[in-house]
Amino acid sequence: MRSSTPWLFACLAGASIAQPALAHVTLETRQAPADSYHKAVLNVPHGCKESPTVRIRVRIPEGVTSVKPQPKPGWQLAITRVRLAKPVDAGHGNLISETVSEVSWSGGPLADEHFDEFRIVMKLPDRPGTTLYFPVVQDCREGVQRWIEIPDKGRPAGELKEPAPALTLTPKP
Amino acid sequence: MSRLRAACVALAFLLNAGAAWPHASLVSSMPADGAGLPAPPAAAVLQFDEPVSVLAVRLLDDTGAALELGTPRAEGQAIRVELPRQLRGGTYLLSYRVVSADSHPVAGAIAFAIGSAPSPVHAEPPAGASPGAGRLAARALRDLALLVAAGGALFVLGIGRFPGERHVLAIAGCVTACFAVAGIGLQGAALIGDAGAVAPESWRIAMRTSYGLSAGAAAAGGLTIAGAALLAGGRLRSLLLGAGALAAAASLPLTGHAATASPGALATAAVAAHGLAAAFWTGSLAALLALLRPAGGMPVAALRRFSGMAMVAVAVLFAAGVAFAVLQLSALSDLLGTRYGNLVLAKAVLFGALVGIAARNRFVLLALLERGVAAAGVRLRRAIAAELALIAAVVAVTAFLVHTPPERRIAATLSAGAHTAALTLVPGRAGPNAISVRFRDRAGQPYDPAEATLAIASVAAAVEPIVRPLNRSGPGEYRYDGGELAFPGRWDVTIRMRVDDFERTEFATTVELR
Repeated sequence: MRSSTPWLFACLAGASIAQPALAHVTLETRQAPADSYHKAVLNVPHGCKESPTVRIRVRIPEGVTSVKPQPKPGWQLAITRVRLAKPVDAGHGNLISETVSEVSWSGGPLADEHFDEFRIVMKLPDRPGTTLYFPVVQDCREGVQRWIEIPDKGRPAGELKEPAPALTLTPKP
Repeated sequence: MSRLRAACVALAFLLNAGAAWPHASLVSSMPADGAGLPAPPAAAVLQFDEPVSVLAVRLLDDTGAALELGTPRAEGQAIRVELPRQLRGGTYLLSYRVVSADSHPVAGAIAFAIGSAPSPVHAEPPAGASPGAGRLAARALRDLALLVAAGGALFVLGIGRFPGERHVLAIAGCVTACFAVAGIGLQGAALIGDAGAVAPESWRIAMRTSYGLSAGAAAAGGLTIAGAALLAGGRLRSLLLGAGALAAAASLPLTGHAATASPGALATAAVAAHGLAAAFWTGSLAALLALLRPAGGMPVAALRRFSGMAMVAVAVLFAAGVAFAVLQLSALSDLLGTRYGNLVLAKAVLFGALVGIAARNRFVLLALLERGVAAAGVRLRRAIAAELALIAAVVAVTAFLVHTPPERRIAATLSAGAHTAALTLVPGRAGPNAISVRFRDRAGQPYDPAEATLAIASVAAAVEPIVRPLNRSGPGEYRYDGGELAFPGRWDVTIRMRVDDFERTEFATTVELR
């Protein structure tokens, strides 16, 4: 059995580098209770084929409200709002008629060898059991990567080349 | 221990799968995707942007058969595979499945063609392209002159000489040659797309296609007849008239749909026979019109002789026409459902009217003439003039027909979300197709996506997706012309469109090609 020890190490090493965070642009937390306030952390692990990242754009899914992105030094924050067709109760009796549809951080550049995270707090909708997708467009000095694919019957999540970061809503505690 | 090793590899694979770096993708290949090669390559090289290992590489020819390949070798970021020796000319699909360093499977396919000779399809401008009034008129006038020249020659050989014969044959022969030659430039211009009909490049291109050969035969035939007509008489004249008529008729199946239809021998024979019979009919009518001049006597003997031969000619004309139509149309419903079928139907209706007039001429007017009723001659003259007018209409329809691809048009309207995509494949059979997509929004208005691509795959034949751009040809209209649907069978066609920066939609369908 002695000779199998290096294999075991190699195996563990292989498994440990296989962290999802290293791969695509993803959300650090993949699940959150419905109807709760949530801090979404977007991990950006690399540029576009070695080219540094200069802008991250996130589309906020319908139903998510009270969106507040975290400013980051060296990055210019921009927020796009849309009017809601029907005002919604944001809690505490506050009716809101506008919501954030898109958040973008421009600047950097974030080198391909480096990693960074981008944070947004938000109020999640009361729809337990559903999955929200946060499509991300990663603009680089050269090229663009669109993490915007959404799985369907024909193409399960594992087969997608550039999946959109996803958040599954769990039942309220 | 080996079991532990296997379990370890499997574990690493499972953990890695679905959570990878942006996966390896094909950067380039040799042969290049979509390339046409003059000679078969010895090997194929697929160049990726990171090291990969091979799962499977398959080479399929245009019958859908998988060919035996050497063992694919990974050479750094490339895969190299020896190809079979002496690949014949045609379209090939090379399908690959590899695993990138992150153990994520990556699959795709490339298409390439072998053969320096332009494939017969390239003799035709892109399917669906409007032929243009110039080409149509040139073709119709050439065909009409060709029928009169060749048919007049046949009349002289089979029935007898007629007044004005020298002028009719010389003029018709020369007109045939002129329009056949002018047609080369027009055809070349249409093939290149943006060059003029007098540009040398247009001529060079057209002469390399089957059209050049056909035009050459027509021109040679026309000039031979014209030259023979000027001779006083004798065996040489007869010989030249016969050779000219045959060359002119033979020019018809040398290009166009007959040259690409299958079975080729039957299609060629059918079109040649159809052309020869049509020429005999047309040329004879022109000759009879000359014979029936009010000043002349009643050419009863010639009429009777023609009448007997015309029965055979009409039967051949009809049988050959039907045979060719059957080869080109896949179902009776295509007569109504496709443009090609509509034109065939129009020809059939005009043919019916022609046969009606001809029957009246033979059974009513000829009988009257035989009994010496002189007034019947005038009526016959009018009837023959009407027949010639109808033949001119048939020739005009035929000019449209030869520029219309026979379709087994496959169409499907697909919807995804708020959008629809209407997919059309013309001719909708294995081989080169014009693939067009019409995008519409919820309101039915033309819709232009931010980006549109086409993926062609065959799960049935294990061909991984071949990705092609869809090029905008008009508001909401996109198309791609190519031979990727190379062999008969079930094909999976996926239209991918990007609505905006963040949203992508797919329309997928399966088509069955013969």
